[in-house]
Amino acid sequence: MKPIHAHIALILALLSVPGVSSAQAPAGGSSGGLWWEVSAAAGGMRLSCLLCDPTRELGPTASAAFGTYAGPSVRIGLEAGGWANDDEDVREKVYRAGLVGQLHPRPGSGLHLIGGLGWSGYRAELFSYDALRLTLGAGWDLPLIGNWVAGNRVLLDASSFASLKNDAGTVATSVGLSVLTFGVYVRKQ
Amino acid sequence: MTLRAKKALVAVGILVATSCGVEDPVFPDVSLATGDAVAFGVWSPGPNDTCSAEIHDQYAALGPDGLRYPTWHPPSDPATGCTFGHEHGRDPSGSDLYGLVGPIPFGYANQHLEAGGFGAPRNEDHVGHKVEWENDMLMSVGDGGSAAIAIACDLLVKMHQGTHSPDAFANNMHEVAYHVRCSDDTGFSITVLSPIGTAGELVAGCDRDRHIPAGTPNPPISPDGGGKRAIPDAACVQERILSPSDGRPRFDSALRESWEISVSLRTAENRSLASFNPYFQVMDPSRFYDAGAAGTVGRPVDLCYVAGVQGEDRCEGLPSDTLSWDDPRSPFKGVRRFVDVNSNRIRNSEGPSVWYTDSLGKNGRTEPFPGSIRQWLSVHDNQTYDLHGPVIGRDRDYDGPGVHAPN
Repeated sequence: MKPIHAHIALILALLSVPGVSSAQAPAGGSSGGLWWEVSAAAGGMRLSCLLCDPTRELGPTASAAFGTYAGPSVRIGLEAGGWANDDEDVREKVYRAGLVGQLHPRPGSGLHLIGGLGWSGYRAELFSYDALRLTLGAGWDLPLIGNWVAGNRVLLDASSFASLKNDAGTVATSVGLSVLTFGVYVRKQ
Repeated sequence: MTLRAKKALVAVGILVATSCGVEDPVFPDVSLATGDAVAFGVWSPGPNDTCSAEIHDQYAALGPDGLRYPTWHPPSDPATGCTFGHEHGRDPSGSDLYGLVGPIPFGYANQHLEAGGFGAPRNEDHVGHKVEWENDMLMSVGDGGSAAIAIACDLLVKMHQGTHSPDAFANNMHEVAYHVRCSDDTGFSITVLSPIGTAGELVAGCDRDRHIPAGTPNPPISPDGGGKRAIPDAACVQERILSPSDGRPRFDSALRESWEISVSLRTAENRSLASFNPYFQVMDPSRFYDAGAAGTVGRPVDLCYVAGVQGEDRCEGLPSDTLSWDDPRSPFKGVRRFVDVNSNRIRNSEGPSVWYTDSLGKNGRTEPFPGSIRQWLSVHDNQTYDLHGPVIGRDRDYDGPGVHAPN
């Protein structure tokens, strides 16, 4: 990994330490309203299989999401994002897209739980991996001004039972992919 | 991920892979030999060598055919301290594969060439057998695969690479014994007589596009093979030692030999079972091709006494009186070698793990036949990824007490 990516990832991880925030923020939305957010994070990616390099590679991630409120404490929407890392001369990338839901279990609290379902795709030159993805995580909202909220969150993307392929065919089967991220976000709600 | 960390992780995989192998170590007692191979007992001491032939012949291996073969030995005999004057490379007993492979019989493929159906013999000298090995080599996987995949291999290889005589100028058939075991289950043990490049010609080491006819090969029916034998010739010496553009002679650049082999083990139906294509490189051969010299052999050490070259580069520190080409003090004795491991391909997902081929690695069958060689392959297929090995041995040289050309 190039040092610059390691530095970016580390800074993003430090920004996301939950202890830096203690304030509470309301969910702030109303049913039928719109929201959108962007986030940046440090992410550790690992492929799991018999042949796979078992090291979790560190790299920056970014994502964006938008949607609506299914209730005062429930946001649903679409999201897309990506992770990248330079492993010596090879750039590894993970793309993700899908549905996201965010639930505030206690109205008025900044704590919210995150779930998602979608696609993750790994790319490294001719090597590729595509799989169904589940996302679980939690975040903590901090009120900014007006309808703006910032916060930090931790997310785990997990995929499995797919194949790592290249142009010659299947290289490995039963391959898992996980990306663990610690990051910050800004939301307009 | 650092190279060291990757090596540590995949080394565990190799340990598991090799310990689960189907082969048990079997080192039969050489005293059980039913006879001697053609390659056995051909070495005798020269004026600079202090070991007797009897001491040398104590280093023997029992071949799968029950015959006694020469095998690796150190440059000097530890028991007596006498010197053999030649070396066979890296001590194979340090290889993680030694427990599977045991002592490598030198000349085994040569021995069975004719019985396997080839119409002429091909025997090679003793000193040219060179061993190299590496444990836990971190492999690379082409097209970005190294970012996602971590594979390590143990490799033990013996190549006959004589770089002291005119043999390889025209003769392209040379024995290779190649043993590899990897953490992805790629593995094979193959012994063949490999045709390297075109018979009867060499390729100029300093200009691979220049093909030089070098006479009738031995045997004359030697087939052409893949790869090439890049060997220095007088033009390379002229260009890079005697008349370099900047006035500085560069022996390594001029003399480097690269034997780029391309071995494919094939079934009787010509289906490839396994292939590998390492490059065997020698920096300090004691010969170069010179059509105008006696026997077409030029001697690099003679260049050290040419005005403008004396005392320069590899000639630094040599005595002012002319050294003979086989003087132990000559820096040109073929001890600085390394191997580019390159590709290791296997297509044997259907098995079995034991195949029998002729000495050229062809006509592979599942049952033995006259003159056949037993080859072992893992039941595996790695054709979807290009498993490449690194360069090994670049930081080693095999000079030792009394070593001299011919080596």
